[in-house]
Amino acid sequence: MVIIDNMETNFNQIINRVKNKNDRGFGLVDSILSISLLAGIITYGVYFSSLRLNTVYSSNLIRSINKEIERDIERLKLDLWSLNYDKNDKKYLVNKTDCLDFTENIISLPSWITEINSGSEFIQSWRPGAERSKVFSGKKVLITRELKMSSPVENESLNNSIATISYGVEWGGNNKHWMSIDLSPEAHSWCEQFI
Amino acid sequence: MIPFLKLKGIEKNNGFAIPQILILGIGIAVSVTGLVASSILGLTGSRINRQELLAKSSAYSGISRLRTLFNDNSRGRLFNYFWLVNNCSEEANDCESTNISNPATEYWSDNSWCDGEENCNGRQKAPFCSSDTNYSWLSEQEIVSNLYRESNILGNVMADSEKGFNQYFKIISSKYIGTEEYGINSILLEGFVRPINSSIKSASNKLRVNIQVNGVTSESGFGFIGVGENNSDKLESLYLGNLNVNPNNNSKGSIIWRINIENNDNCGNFVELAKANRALLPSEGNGGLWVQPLALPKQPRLKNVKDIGTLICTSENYSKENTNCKLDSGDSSEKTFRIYSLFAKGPGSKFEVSTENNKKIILEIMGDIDISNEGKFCHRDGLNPCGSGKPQNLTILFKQKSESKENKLVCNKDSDFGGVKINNNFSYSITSPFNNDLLPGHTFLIDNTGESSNEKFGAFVYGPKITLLSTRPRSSWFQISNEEQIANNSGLIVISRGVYGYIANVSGDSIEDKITNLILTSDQKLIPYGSDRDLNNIEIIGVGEKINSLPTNSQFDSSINKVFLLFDKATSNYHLRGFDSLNINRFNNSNLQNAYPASFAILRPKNNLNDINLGNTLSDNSYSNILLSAFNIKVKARENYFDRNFSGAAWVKNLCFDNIGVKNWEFSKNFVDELVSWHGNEFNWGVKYYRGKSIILWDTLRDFGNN
Repeated sequence: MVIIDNMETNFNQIINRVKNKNDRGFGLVDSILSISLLAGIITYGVYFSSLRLNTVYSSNLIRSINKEIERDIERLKLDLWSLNYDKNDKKYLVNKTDCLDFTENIISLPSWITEINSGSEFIQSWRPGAERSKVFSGKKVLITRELKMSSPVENESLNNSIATISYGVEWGGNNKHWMSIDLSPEAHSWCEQFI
Repeated sequence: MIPFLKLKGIEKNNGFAIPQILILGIGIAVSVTGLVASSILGLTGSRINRQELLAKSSAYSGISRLRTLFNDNSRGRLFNYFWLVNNCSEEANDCESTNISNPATEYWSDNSWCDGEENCNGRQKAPFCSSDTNYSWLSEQEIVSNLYRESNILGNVMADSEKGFNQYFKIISSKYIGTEEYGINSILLEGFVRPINSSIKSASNKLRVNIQVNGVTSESGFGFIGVGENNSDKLESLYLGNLNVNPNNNSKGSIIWRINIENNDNCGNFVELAKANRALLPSEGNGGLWVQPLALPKQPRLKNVKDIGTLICTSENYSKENTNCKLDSGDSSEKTFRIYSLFAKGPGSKFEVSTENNKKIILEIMGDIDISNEGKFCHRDGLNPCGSGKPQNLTILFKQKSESKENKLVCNKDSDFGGVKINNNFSYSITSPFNNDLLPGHTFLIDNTGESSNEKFGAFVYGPKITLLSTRPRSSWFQISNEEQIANNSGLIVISRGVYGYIANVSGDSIEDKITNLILTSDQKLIPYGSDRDLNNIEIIGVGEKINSLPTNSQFDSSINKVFLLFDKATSNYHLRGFDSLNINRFNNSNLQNAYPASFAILRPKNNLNDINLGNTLSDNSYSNILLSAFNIKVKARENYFDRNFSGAAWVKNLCFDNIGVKNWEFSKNFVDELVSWHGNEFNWGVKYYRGKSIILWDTLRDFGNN
């Protein structure tokens, strides 16, 4: 009983103090400032959240394009490795004509031809889909690769054995030369020297 | 009592104060800024990923470029030899400036090639002279050095696209570790990226790549003829003459002349130097004459060798039952015979060997072979006629014991008649014991290959120390020593070690009968077969022993019992000349086996007492016939000059042909395939081209400090 009486006394004291006309409390100025600050912070947060989302999207897009191009290069490398390889004889069978110029062999590789007919067998394009990466949803990214065959040294009459492949990527309003790489068929290492 | 509800001094609290709100605001701002920073960092990470990809691609491209350049197979280009040397750029630890080695001035270390010679570097790694005058080592070096000296930009411009970066690669160094057959080239390079309009690298990928390098001999490069033993054999080791390589239109194969070339003076002049102006060699791109000291494979290992001694295959010896002048492998798939020396000389003389695809024969020859004066080397395929034997089924190995450095045999290029001569043909001072290393090397003389054009001499001849000789004597006569067994004279003139010698008795079985004896001039010099110079301008035709007294008007020394029949090439006269014998080696089996001469037969000086001039013919000259009969010498006119047809391969020290008659050599791929199948892949010997094939190490981010 004594404890309950004390609690009642304390509660009454608090109520009395709140009711005290001299306590200023959460005033108008405080409210305005708080609301303004909160609004500013919310605006700031929303703005930077959208900025971050955009940044994350760009980052994912670049990573996915890199991976897509890397996958494509690996496929081409694999095909170039097996070009002219005879599985029965277990060796490379490469004739003189092939050694002089590998262009025809390369544009005939299964991995060279993509689903989009770009009108030139030296330029192939494709639009990766969501199955490759969520960021490709809608197939809005166009990847193009362009082949140029050349000798390892410019202006020299050597074998046309270097396949320089340049990748371009288009999305939104962007059209970027992404990267280039020189590849060569393994079979070239088995070409017989003309003596 | 409830303590937490007790608020002390509550009358002075001012509610939700401004400082608290500010602190909260700052906290939130910091958090949001952190999120922004992390977003930006995320973007930066993906940008770096892309540049890493670009740098990796650049490095890969550098390897592709270097590999395809060195593997280029264009005729006349020399890039494949750069696999064998070390190159470096100024960024390598080993070099202060870009240094691209010239493979033609780099050498394989080889003691047997240098053979004790001072200032001998070894064997050149590449031919000094290019087979195509459009290309030179200097031009090829310059092209290679561009890869090492400069940063090489990659890629093409794509239409309507924006390029943010340029890709480059630079090769730092490449080192070869290995042999002439196989090795590894370790390449160090860097791929890197620079933003457009900037000279600062924004990404880099450093690589150590090891590529396996293999030497391969092509069909065109196989050496059907290989000439030259060591560095001291220079331009006098080859005389091709009017050799026709068959098949005429599309033969493929090479003639390897194993010499180091030190300057450009002789480049483009080798056909003339080999006296091959009249030769028909494989067409351009199919092989031909190749000058480079390629390493010869070691001779095949022999087992179960049957020793059959010296063979003197006269017609009578050939006809004997169980003669060793007819060999076959019996029921064995392969049989090896050791022969000390082999002579089939004179009409009816024949050595016969029968082989088949599954019955191969190896002849190990310790000394010389002399097939001449209508004697025949009959290689038959089973029971088929002579000359039908397949070269891939017969191997002739020469195993010379003596080291002939002082008195070297070389080809005689002084005339169209060919033959050999001796470089330092010095006068022998006879000492005891005699130093057999002062003698020239052994020879294989074959002046005919059969009567019809279908008859060929086909074999694989492996004799890096011997001379293969095919030339005809100038004399129109030769001695018959085997048709009739003449009681007191069964001697036979033979060519041993490229010089004239004789055998005392072709019918005898003793060592004394069979062992060779060499003939010296009166000033104690050897008489090379075919030499046209100095006092050695003679041929020895026959050997005789006096059985009747000489005509009374003869001034010839009556005490002389043994004579040689000579032909003087300067006057075309025949002479009888007395000689004296001087033993230099013991008559024992060891000396017989190693074909060491038992004695020197020294011609007496040319004067009326020692020499009788028989005139310029031996046919209807009664005077000469009387004298020849007195010395029991029977001669025969040389009637037929048959074509000489060869097939197979010969790897020898000297190959000395002539420029007269008809000589053919068949280059056959089937022979090469079968030879390799029999003796192993190292016998696919010839011009090698090098290819960097499998990549056996791909190590990234290696510190350049260890290059």
